[in-house]
Amino acid sequence: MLAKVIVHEASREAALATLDTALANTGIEGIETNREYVRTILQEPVFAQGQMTTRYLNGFTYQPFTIDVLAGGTMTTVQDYPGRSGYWPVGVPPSGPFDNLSFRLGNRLLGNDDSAAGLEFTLNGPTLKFNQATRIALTGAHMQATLDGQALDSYQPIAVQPGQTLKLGKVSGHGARAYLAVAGGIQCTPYLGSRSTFTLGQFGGHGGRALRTGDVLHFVETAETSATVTVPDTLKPALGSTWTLRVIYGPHGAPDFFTDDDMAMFFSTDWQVHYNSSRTGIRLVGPRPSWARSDGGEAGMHPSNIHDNAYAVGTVDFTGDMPVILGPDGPSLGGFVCPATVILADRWKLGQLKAGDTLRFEPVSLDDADALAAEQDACITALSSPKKTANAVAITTPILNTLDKSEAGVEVVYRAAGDRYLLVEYGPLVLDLRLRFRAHALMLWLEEQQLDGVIELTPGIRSLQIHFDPQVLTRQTLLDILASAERELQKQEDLEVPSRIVHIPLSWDDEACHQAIEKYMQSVRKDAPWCPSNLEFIRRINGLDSIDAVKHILFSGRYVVMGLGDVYLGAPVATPYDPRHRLVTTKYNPARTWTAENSVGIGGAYLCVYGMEGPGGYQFVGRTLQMWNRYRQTGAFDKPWLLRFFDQICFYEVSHEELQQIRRDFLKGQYPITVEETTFSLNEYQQFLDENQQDITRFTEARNQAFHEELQRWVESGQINFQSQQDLNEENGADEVDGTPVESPVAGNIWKLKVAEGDTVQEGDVVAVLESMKMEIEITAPETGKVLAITRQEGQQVNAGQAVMVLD
Amino acid sequence: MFNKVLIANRGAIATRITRTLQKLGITAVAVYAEADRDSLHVMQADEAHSLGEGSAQDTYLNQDALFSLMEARGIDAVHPGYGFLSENPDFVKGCEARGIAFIGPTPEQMNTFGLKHTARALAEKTGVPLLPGTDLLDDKSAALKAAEKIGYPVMLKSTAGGGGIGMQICDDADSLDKAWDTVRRLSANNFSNDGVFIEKYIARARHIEVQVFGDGKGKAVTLGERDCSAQRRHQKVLEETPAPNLPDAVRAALQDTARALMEAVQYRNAGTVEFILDQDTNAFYFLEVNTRLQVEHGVTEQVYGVDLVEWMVRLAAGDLPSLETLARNLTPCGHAIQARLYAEDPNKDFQPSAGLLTSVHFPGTTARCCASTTGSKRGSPSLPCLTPCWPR
Repeated sequence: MLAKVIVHEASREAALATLDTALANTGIEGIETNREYVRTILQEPVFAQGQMTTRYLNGFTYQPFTIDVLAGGTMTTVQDYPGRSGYWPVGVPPSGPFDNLSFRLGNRLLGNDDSAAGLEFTLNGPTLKFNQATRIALTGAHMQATLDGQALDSYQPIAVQPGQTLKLGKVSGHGARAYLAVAGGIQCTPYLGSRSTFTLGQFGGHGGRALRTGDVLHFVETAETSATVTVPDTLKPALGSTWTLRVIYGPHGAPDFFTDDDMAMFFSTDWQVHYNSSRTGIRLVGPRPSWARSDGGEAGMHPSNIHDNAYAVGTVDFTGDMPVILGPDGPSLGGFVCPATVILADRWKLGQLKAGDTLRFEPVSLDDADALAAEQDACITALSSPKKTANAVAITTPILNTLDKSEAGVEVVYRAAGDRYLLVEYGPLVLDLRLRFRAHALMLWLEEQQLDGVIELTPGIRSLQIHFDPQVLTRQTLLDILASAERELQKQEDLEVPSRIVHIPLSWDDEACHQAIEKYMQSVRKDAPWCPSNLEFIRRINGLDSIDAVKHILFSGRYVVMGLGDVYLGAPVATPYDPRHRLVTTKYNPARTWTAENSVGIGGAYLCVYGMEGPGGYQFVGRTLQMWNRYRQTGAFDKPWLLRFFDQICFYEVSHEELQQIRRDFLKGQYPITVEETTFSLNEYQQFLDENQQDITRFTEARNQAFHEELQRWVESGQINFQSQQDLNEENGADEVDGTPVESPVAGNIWKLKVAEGDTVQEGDVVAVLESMKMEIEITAPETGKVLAITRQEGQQVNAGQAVMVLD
Repeated sequence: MFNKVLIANRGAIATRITRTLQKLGITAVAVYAEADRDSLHVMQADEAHSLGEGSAQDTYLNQDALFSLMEARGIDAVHPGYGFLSENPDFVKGCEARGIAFIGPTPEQMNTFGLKHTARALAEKTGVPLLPGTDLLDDKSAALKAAEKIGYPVMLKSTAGGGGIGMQICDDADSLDKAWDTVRRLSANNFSNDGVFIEKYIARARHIEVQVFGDGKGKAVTLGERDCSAQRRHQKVLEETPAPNLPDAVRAALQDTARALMEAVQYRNAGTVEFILDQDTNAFYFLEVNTRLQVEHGVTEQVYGVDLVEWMVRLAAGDLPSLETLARNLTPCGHAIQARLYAEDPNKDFQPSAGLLTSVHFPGTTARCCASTTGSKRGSPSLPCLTPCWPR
C-alpha cells in the first residue's frame, strides 16, 4: 500500500466528489498504481447509489489509457520537442528527439501540439500493446512495423484498437532512428520543464531511462479526427549513407587554432561515423589536423585544448585529434576547440547517422541558415515542400565583431557558434579571474534586461555563450546591444559578488578512479603517459617531488567555481584562488568513454567534479559527494544543483568506505555540509596577488618547466602523435572457422567475453557484452552448442554482422 | 501514563501511532528492517532501532529480537499496529511475561476469535445471527450432505483462512466435490490447519463491519459501522462510514449485536466485528472479529472526532475515562471515505508494480481531506514486498 486517502464531508455525495478530486490531484509516477481504477469505481452507478456488493468488482472491466511495453528494443526513450530549455548554464542538455524533423512530422500527422511527447527508437524497435483505442504515426528511418501482424506504413496516421500490439523490428535501410507519435502525446510529469528522457542524468521520460519490458506508458483519450493529412515526400527526411551537413564556420578556426590547410582538409574530408556514437555525440574518423599551435598553453598540452567554454548543440568538437559532433544529450561546457557548427535546419541529420556512414561539412552563411530554419518551421506547420537552398560559401572568419581595449577595458570578441549561439570572449587566452568577472557582469546585465529571444546564458572561463532565437532577436540587434552593454559595464569600479565557502569530502585516489583508468587502458588507449597512475602523471608534469606533495596542494586549495556543468548536472569547473595551488595537466587524448559519477579531476589548470557518469578527459585525484540531487530538496539542495557561480570549494579527506556512506546519506539530507557565506572582491583578490607576487612567480616557473619537459618526452617517444586505431573494415582470419557464427548485432567494441573456447552454451545465453553507442549490448548464443573458436578478443572492435565466436 | 512505547510495525500505521504517542508526550520508538532504514516511520519516531537485514520473518516478526530490544531500551508498552504480530497471542504473552503492556486485546480473546469455528460457537451462544453452516467437517460425504441441507450455493471455507485464501464458492454438488481437496490443501499449506467448514453463500452480499472498543471489564461501545463492500479479490479498495443505503433499524441492530458479542468476552481494547449483509433482505450474518486496529479506522475517527489510537494507549495504561463518559460524547458527524492506493497494475491482474518513484504528488492535507502515506517520496524505490502485504 502506497497511501490511503481519506475525505470527510457533510454528506456522502460531497465526500465522493472530494475523494475524486483528491485522487485526480494525486500523482504517482514510475510505477503503476490503482489510482485511476479507484476513480473509475467512484463513477460506477452501483457505487454512487450505495449498492456495492463484495462480488461486484470481480466482473468489473477496466481499460486504462495505457501502453504495455512487451519488449523495450535497443534503446527506446520518451522525448519531446524542443526538449529541456533554460538549464544549459547548469549543465543540463536539451535532450529531445535526435532527429527532430521526423519527430515533429509525426506529431503534425496526428494534429498533436508540437510539444507532445513521443517515442524514439534506435536500431531495434520495441513491442507495444495498446489498452485503449488511439491513433499513432511512425516516422524517421524505416523500421519493419506490424500491428497485430499487419504491416504498417510510415508517415500516415494509423488507428489502433484496444488490445492491439505494435511490433517494431530492425531499422532496414538507411538511418538509425525511428519515431512513434501517439495522439495527444505520451503522458508523464515534466522534469525541469520537459518530458524528454536524459538517460545519462537518469531523469525525464519514463523512469529517467530507456524503456524495458513491463513498463507501462500513459496516454489520453482524444477525439477522432476525420481530416487526413499527408507529408510531401520532399519534406520527409532524405536518408542515405553519405551525408552533407551544412555548418557555420566557427566558433574557433584558422589561423589562431587551426591552419588554413587544416580547415581546407576539414571541409574536403569524407568523415566516417565511428561506432562509438550516441545521443551525446557522433564521433568521426578521419585525418588529423596539424594545428596552428604546439599546445593549449594553460588549458592543456594538446593544441585542441582551450579554456573551457559553453558548447553549441551540433558543434564539431575536436576532443584531441578526434572530432565529435555534439548531440542533444551532449555536455554544455568543455575545453576543446570547435571549428564548425551544424545549422539548426540540418540538426535532424545527426540523429540518422549510422556507424560507417560518411559525411562532409559544407559551410553556409548565417543568413541562409536563418532562412532555412524559418522555412523548416513553416513547412512543418503547413506540410509544404521546402524550396530554399543554400550555397556553400568560402570561409572567412568566425568572428562577427570585436571591441578593443580602449572601448571595453579589455578586448572582447564575438564569435558565431552556429546559427543559434553567440560566444562572447574576453581578453587573451589566459586564466584570469578578472576576465571571468566580466562574463559574470554581462550575464547579470542581460538577465536584468530580459530580452525576448534570449534563451540561455552560459558562462565559461573567459566567455559567455548566448543562446538566442534569431527569428525573434536578430543577430545584428543582439551584437549592438552587447557592445553597448560593455561600454556601460566599463564604468563599474570594484566588483564584489556573493560567494560561499563550501566544505566537501574527498576520497583521495578512489577505487572508482582506478576502475575508469583500467577501462580506458583496455578499450581506448593502452600506453598513454597518464596511465596507469594519473596522480604520478600530475606529479611529474607539475615538477613535484612526491604524490604526497600533490595531495597536500589539493587539500590546501580553495577552488573558485567558474562554470557549472563541466561535465553535466551542476558539476563545477573551478580554479584555485591562490595561483600556488594551481596544478596543470593535459587532458586525456582521446577522451575516456567512462568516468564514475562525482570523480574529481584536474585538466588544464582546472579542477572539476564530474556531475554524472560519462565520458571525460580530466586526470583523476579522487571522488567526492553528489553535485546534483535529482528528486529531493534538502538543506544543501534548494535546487537540483549544489553549487553556484563563485562558490569556493574546500576539500577534506575521507576514506573510500566513508565516502560510500556519505554518498548514501547526502542526497537524503542526512549528511550536513558546512557552507560559509562570504563575498568575493576583485580588489581584494588583486591585493592578494600583489602581496605574494614573488612566490607565485617562482612556483609558476618551476611548474612550467616541468610541463615543457614532459612535452619534450612525448615528442621523443612519439606519443605526441598518438592516433586512434580505426580498423572497422579489417577482417580477421579466424572468421573462417567452420560452424555457426555468433554475430554481433551492431558495430562496437568487445567489452566482456562471458565464455571460453570449449565451453558449452545454451541457446539465449549471454556469450559476450559489447560496448557500442555508449551502451552495453549483450550478444546471445543463437543455438545450443560448444564454443569452437573465439574470433574477437576483449578490447577488439567488431562490425555489425561479424562473428565474435563460432559454435559447433 | 507510559514513558516509552515501541511500535512493532512499519509504514503508514507506524507513522499514525507515532503521531498520537508524540501528542501524548510519550517517546515513540520505531523498529525497522535495514531495507526500511530511510522510511518515514523511522525518521518521524523519537528513537529508532534496526532489526537487521532480511525478510519480515527475520525482522518485524522476530519476537526474540523485539523482546531483547524492549528490555534493553526500557519499553513500557508495545503497539502492534495491524498485520505482523498484532494478532499473535504468543507475542502478547511474551510481552506480559516481561511486564510490558500490550496495547490490544488479551491472548485468550485473540484465540477465541482467531479460529473461525470457535468464533462461530461463541457467536451462536451470544445470539449473533450466523449464516446457516456447519462445524468442522471430517470428510467429503458429510460436506455434501450438509450442503444439500443448507441449499446451494455454499461457501467452502478454511477455519484458519484469511485474505481470500482457502475459500471457494460451490454452486452445486459437483463443484463442492472438486473444491474439497483444493481448499483443504491450500489451507494446510498456508495456515498449517486443514480444518474446513461450509456456509451458505449470499450472492449479493455487502461487507459491513462495526467498530467496537471494550474496556476489558465487560463494557463495550460501538462507533458506527463501515461499509467495505468495494473489494477486489478480497482486498478492500474503498471504505466508508456510515454505510449508505441502510435502514436505521438495521444500523442499530448491527451495533447492538456487535456490542453484545464483545461484551460477552469482556473484550479489551479496539476490535471490529464483521458482518455479511444480504443486499436483498438486509438480513445480516456474523463473519468474523478482527482483534486489532484496522487500516480503515481513519474514517471512523473522522466521523466521530476521536483518536482511537489514543484510546488504545490510554486504556492499556489504565488512564482512559470510563466508557460511559466517553460514550456520552460520541456523536457521528458527516460522511467519510477512504481509498487505498496500491502499487499494482489493475490492467495486469493487479500484479504488484515496483520501481523508482519518479514523481509523487499527494493532495494537500485540508480540513476535509488527508493523505496518509507509507512514506512514498520522489526518488524512493517502491519495494515489492510492500504491496499489498497486510491482511485487510
